[in-house]
Amino acid sequence: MSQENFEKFRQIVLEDLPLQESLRGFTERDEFVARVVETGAARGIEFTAEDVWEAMRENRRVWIERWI
Amino acid sequence: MDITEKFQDWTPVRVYWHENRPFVDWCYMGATRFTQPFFDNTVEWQMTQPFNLLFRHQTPLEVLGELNERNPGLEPTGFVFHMSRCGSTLVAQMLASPARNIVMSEPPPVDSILRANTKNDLVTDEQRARWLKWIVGALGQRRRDEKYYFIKFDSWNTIDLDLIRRAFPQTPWIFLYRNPVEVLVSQMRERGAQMIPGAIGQILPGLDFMETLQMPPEEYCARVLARFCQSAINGAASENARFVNYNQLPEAVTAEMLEHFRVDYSPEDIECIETAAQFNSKTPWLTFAPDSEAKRKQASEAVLQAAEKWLVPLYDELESIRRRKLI
Repeated sequence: MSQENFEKFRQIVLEDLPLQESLRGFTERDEFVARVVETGAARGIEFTAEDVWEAMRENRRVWIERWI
Repeated sequence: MDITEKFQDWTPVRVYWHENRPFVDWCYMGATRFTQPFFDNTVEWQMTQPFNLLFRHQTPLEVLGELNERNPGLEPTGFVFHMSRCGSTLVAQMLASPARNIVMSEPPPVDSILRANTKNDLVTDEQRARWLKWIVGALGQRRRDEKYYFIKFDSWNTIDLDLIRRAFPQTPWIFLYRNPVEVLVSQMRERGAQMIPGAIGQILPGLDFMETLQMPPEEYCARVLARFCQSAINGAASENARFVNYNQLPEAVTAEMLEHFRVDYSPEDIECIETAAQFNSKTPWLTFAPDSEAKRKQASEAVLQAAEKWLVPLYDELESIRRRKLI
């Protein structure tokens, strides 16, 4: 369920330029993940840090395997 | 939200197929210029940013068409084709050095579109040409105040030169080539993907996969290079075509190449381009050192024979065309 919530949050971010701006500029992943969870919660969308880490790992995997 | 606003500062970085339809992966690039030796090097760095690891648009390819209608991007100033291992990355790095230039060096989304018919054999040449215009437009968006826009294609895209020319009939292009023994020696040392049978589809027409696998590597590589050179020769009659030999580099970039591409640079820009020529293009922290003689000395008998049989006649023809075009 929280993964579905995270996906919902991700779609919201992709449609909201100021929100995107507020999440850019992080270079430390721990800080970034904490901010993403916090921002989702502030909007009433609950998901865990692990959901975010998992999504980042999956995107990284897709990028690395792009030639396969 | 308006579609151009939504994708402002996002770049298509990958074209992929899902349920027989082409899709695009986008990466937020902001004002980042593509200055690394290859398109993917610049994207790779962006992909390490936490935001980009988590958030990316994924859209059907047709979104590129909608964007192209609203904002077609810069018209390409020039195209660079090449036979591989012949100085094309040096040329791309030189062109990328002035901030007024956008240079896309072997962008995989362009290659994916040109080879879309290998993913789905229902894709027509007309579709490929239309999609090519879309992706070229999307990659040619101004990030600052760029004026000129160059694309260096993958070597094997030379096979599609005719289709590319039909999509961009006004765009001047060059074909870079080099002494075939030197290119073959380099490929034998470390083969590019195009030199591995089947890795980039079927490059040699009329031969099945097993035949190409059984072929000596020197012969396979020589025949692949011959296909690229022949394709360039087939387009030589065009006024937009110019041929440049590796041994004319780097001077040819600031002389005849810029003239051919009809660009006008300030003395500062020229200095910037010339400075870029001093470094090794693929490892820019090293200085450039010519290696033609060393490569020829390393040539095996098999390399010499393959070059003689499959490439030397084409090389002679390329040289003859190049000289004719200078008159």
